[in-house]
Amino acid sequence: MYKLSGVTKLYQKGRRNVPAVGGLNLVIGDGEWLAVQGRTGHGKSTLLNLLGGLDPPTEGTVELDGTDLGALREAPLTRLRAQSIGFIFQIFNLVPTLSAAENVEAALIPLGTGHADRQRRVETALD
Amino acid sequence: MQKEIGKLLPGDTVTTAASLASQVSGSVNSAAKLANDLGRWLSALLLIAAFAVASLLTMAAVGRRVREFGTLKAIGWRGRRIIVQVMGESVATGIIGAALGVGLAFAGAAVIDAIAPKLSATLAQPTGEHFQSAGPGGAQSISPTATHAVAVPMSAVITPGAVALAVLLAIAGDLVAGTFASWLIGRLRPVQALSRVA
Repeated sequence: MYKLSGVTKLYQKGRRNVPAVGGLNLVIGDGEWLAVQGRTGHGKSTLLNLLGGLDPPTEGTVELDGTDLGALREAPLTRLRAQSIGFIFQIFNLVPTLSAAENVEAALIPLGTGHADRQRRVETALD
Repeated sequence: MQKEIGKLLPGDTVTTAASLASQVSGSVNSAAKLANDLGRWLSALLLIAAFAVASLLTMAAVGRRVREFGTLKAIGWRGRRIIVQVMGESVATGIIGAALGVGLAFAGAAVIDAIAPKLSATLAQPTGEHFQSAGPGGAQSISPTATHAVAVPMSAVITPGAVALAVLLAIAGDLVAGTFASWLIGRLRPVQALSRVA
């Protein structure tokens, strides 16, 4: 479950601070689907980066299952992303030197799963 | 005889064949030492330049793969794991480069051996015979010498030590390059990497 409290994200543009997200309060329950729509440059990607733990908020807190993502250091945050958050990138972001199966497998390597288990899960995902 | 001539001609310089030979060999030794020192400094400069070029090329390659590394970090790869991969790629590149370099060195040495000009030196050696001659100036002792040509081989010698050193330096250069690349990867933030246009 996600809980966003007073989340603001500011970007520096020259001398100005531009708010990409301003004072957002949001709760996303387990199993709930949420669609975000808006014009280009209105903070959709910024919100996804905040939810994915890729970017910390300027103000407020982003909690995932009670864990404040903005308070985590890089290593535990990376581990949390590996274990609890999945990404489907807008332009795929595939590793060009890897095959399709290897690209899928890349997400399983940080979990420390065995080779056989990874292969099984890759075949299931690509079926 | 040198002393006698020196007494007869006090204003002149008397040089014997032995002293002339030692001066020439001294000059040759100095020239050889200069050439060795120059070669050593040139080798050191070339090595530094090679390390710098390898580092720049590796950092450029990492720069081209920023989006890839950012994606891996986003899906949960720790920076350390990516650094190990990049260092492994650097070592593999170093080994391949070393193998190619050693091969080229042997090929070059073979070419040098095939096309190097044949040099020779003419040496004079005393025959060991002594003759006494009597003339207006009094008795003289003559020791004739015989000359013979000696071939001076020119070849490029590659020792096992040189090969081992070359391989070590190739791998070390790539490790240095990989270290700079690792520094870049450690500072990489996924959100910045993913926002770059491919």
